[in-house]
Amino acid sequence: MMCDATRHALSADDPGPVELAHLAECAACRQWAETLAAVRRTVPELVPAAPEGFAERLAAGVQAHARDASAGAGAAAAGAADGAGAGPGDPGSQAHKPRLPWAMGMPAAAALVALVVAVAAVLTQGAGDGGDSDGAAGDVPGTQVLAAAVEPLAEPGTGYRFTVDGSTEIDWSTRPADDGDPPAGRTELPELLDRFEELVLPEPVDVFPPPSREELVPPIRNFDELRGRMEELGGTLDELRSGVREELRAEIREELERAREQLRDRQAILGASRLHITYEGAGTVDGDGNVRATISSRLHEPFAREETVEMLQHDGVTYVRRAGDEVWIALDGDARFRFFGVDEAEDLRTVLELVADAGPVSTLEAIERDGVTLRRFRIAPQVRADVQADVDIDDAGVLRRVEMSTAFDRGGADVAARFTVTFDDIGAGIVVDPPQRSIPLREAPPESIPGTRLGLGITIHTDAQGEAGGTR
Amino acid sequence: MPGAEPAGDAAEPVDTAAVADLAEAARRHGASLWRFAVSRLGDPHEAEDVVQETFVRAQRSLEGWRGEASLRTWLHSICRNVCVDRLRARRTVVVPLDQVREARLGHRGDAAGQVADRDALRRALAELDEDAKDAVVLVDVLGFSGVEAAAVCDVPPTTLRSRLHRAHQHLITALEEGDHR
Repeated sequence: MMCDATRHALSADDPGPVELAHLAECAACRQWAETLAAVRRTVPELVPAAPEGFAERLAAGVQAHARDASAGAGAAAAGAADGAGAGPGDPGSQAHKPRLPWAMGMPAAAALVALVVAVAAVLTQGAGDGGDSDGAAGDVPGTQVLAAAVEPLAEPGTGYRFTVDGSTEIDWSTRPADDGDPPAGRTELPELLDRFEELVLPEPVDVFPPPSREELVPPIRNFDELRGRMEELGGTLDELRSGVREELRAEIREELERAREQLRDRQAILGASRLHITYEGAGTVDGDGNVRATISSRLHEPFAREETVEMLQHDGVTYVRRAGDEVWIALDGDARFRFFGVDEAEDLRTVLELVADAGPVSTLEAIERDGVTLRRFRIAPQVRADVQADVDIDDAGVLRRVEMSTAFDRGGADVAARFTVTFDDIGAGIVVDPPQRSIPLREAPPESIPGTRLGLGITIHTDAQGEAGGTR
Repeated sequence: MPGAEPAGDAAEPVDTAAVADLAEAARRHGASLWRFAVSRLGDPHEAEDVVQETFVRAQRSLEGWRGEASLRTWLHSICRNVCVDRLRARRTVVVPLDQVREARLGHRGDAAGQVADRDALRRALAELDEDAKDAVVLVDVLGFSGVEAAAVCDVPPTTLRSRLHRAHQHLITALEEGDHR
């Protein structure tokens, strides 16, 4: 840290340079200046440089865009001048469409590729669904069933090759040649869409406007039409009514049964004077702050269920998953996951239920459940964690409290996740050996914590002062 | 300063011909704008989109621009606004795990001490608030002068200087603490 004189000088409204002579005399300021120099030398290395060729691609896109805009303005002006209004002026408005995504390649181009593939898929699907034996199309008359595949061109980053129906190949260039036009033999996106249309449909069809409700479900104008529609569906009015009624009854019965079951569980939990849960687990907090733990819970009668949860902390987020599951669930800031008491058991149940229901998802999704907000997404299981862990150990060596808390800022972006795991009120339940680098916690006597049976084994690596998270 | 962008037209008088030629501006300042955007957003792909949008906005605003600041300053100022708009639109920031992993794996070849320093600085940089981080990136990474950086951030030069000093103090502390670990 710099000396007071320099600090004062630098805090002035218009600070002058630090005197070289002063730096020669003052070790503190010299150290500070050297560290500042190291910081300023290193920080630029931490901000990635732009991808190679980015500025050139950008310039080409800007040039094309400016040219289009200019042509559009000219055409619009001509339209206004000759009084034709929307006539000659129209091309101008078309030309104003930004062409930057085309010229920039990825990632905007990737979205377009996805669009094209989606269009192809929709068309293929539509044709496949309705096709009949004579080859005539279903939903769109005359549509042929085609398969489209897309792969990058041999020269990386230059475009994509679409193979339609296994034989027709179209090379789409995502990068213009020097003159701004696509390289010979390669098409621009509008042409690509045209080619698709030619190949897939005998006549151009605008696939973008969604069908109107009337197109999807023709309106029923009178009672005769209604009767006719129902007869088409294969039943009389009474039969249909009766069928719907039965279906509704079944749904209501099912819903009621589910509600009753939930109520029974809740009453059982709230009414239980002695909640009987056994937890067994092991975890590690290493010197880098990584946390991994496996916790098994066994709820005895009346619930009689047993679950094993893996816990992982990474970048300030705690994830849990049932052993063997592929999906980790991330708990966000308001979720507390403690292992003692009725409310905590309820939280645990909620988490476990969600683990059980979770399918493999890659998109971030927020779930509100019983006042607990959870987010879930696929995460590689081998990720590492940064976490702060506070451990209170009293003079007698009794572990009083373990709190593992994280709040991390990745790449300058606030991560909306913070989680605290608290092993609280452990009291005399677990006795810690004298502080050492690796402290095994002995199993607590079951009768020591009223209302629960506890079998908990945690290994916390600590430094010589007994603080978790030290070097190892 | 390694990694810093060339000063470009930082100290040049306004050249109206250069203003008209946005393509040339893209060639000269595109990489710097991308770095600025990626430092703000953390996502290289989104940074490309932001730079693109910066030039679309610049194109629209060109007629109204009076050349009070240098072209580079003006473009970075637009870029900053685009970033702010994007960040406001975000509810939750998701950093692709691949990116996190790449960032970690990227240091394998470094000496252990350098890696520790870089990690400590990276963490400290990430802890800075956006204003302080802008000051560091503009001045230390992109080579802006204090006055130019202040213009980009739309604050008085004294405020920018104060932010920069605060940021440096934070980074120095992080580096020193990293050394003592």
